[in-house]
Amino acid sequence: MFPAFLDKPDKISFVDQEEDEVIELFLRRHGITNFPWIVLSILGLFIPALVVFLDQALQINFISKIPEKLALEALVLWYLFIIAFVFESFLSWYFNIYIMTNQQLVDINFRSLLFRDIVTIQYNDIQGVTSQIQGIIRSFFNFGDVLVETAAKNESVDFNDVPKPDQVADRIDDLQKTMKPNAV
Amino acid sequence: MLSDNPGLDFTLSSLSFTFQIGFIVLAIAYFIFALIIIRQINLMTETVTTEVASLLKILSLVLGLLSLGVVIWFIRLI
Repeated sequence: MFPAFLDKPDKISFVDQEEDEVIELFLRRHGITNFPWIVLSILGLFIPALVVFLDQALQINFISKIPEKLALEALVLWYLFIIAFVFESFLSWYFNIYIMTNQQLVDINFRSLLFRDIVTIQYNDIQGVTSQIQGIIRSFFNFGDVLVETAAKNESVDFNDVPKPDQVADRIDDLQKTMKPNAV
Repeated sequence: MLSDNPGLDFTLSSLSFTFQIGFIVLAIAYFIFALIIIRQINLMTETVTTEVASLLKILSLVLGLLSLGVVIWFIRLI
């Protein structure tokens, strides 16, 4: 339902996509990168129960002094906060997308709830592509960064934490050669 | 909750009222946040069309309605 690596997806399109433009690869950060916020959210669910438990175990008895209405409101706000955290974290992952088409690379960033930007790179502007997998977890789950150096602005674009970075770098390389058949 | 000390009762009820007002302000801020999420999801689903776009839109609307319900509920609790 929420894949991070899609090869030639047919039900996905993006804004400004040309009629003859085909999506070759559709990428997000690897699903395992969601692990920290998922764990935090699950722990957050139990915080109110933990507070009540500690209050009774340590015989502080502070909770019993709080008016019932107030305690209920605080509890509702706490769970709303967790829902907001889950929603924002999920959206941040889901809408940070890297698209590789037969014509260009598209990097769609959902930086915050109020900001979105789209970076496109033509294959002709690419100077070099490197992939790197650093660390035990990244090696185990086979995800890492793909660094795309561009000639136009002398800057690089990073595909962060994408699955199968070697394969992604190879595909970019192949597509670049297709676009520039005379390139060495 | 009532004690034998009227001064203490007054302080507690004032404190309780202050917290309730604070919670309403937070709930309103949350409602604004939910509206921003609805807007942002619309923007992003226009940017990238995926299979679950409609599901995300529905979820954001549910969150918006839920937060509005919480605001109304908090106000009625005063």
